Amino acid sequence: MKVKIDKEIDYGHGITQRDLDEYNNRPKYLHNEKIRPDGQSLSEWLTEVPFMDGCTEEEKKEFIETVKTASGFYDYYE
Amino acid sequence: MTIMNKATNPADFPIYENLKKEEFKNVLDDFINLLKKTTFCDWKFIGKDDKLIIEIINLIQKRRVYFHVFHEKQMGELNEISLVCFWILKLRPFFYKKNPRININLTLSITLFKQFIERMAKIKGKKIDFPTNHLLHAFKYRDLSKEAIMAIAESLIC
Repeated sequence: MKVKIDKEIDYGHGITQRDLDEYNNRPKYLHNEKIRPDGQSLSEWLTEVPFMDGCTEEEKKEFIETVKTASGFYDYYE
Repeated sequence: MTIMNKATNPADFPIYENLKKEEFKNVLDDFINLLKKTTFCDWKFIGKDDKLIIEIINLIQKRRVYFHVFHEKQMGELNEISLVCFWILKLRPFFYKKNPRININLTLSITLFKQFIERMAKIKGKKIDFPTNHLLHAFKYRDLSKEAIMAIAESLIC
């Protein structure tokens, strides 16, 4: 919905027509798109593709080992 | 005077009510399922704080009005997943039963994030090189905001 400016009203704070034009024409961000159909849960939608689908066994192993190392699985504690 | 677009007036958005006790179980199970299906970890070794998880769910849902007001759109999957990752890293509701020092919240959030990126790659028909080491470092050590995690996700899939 566009915002209209009434030239006779002082909107204050130095807001101009140009400011409102920029506001109306600002880019719509991709990341706000809702993709999954209504009624589908987030987990149902997300796991339609199996975890690490298309990855080789070596890639899977490398990812798992990297994450485990960063998470402290292989740290030794006294 | 603040110019406000009537369509994005927060007063037009339903007021969020925290989950009721009778709703806890279903919502909790759904949330746990989200993580169970997107991790390589054996879930029998993972403990959880149910109250914290319910708090996370409430916090994520309360964010919907923010997107309505500032972006004139409803919250999308990218936003939801990013918020789940953020709050898991922040509030740490999970622990590894065999060794509580292990940062299992890092494991769960990075694998969830990766699963989302892969899902989007499938939709867009492109191959995305997931920067595992960079993101592990960022998730573990950096002061990432909710919007920063969303920006990272957006930059990977665009």
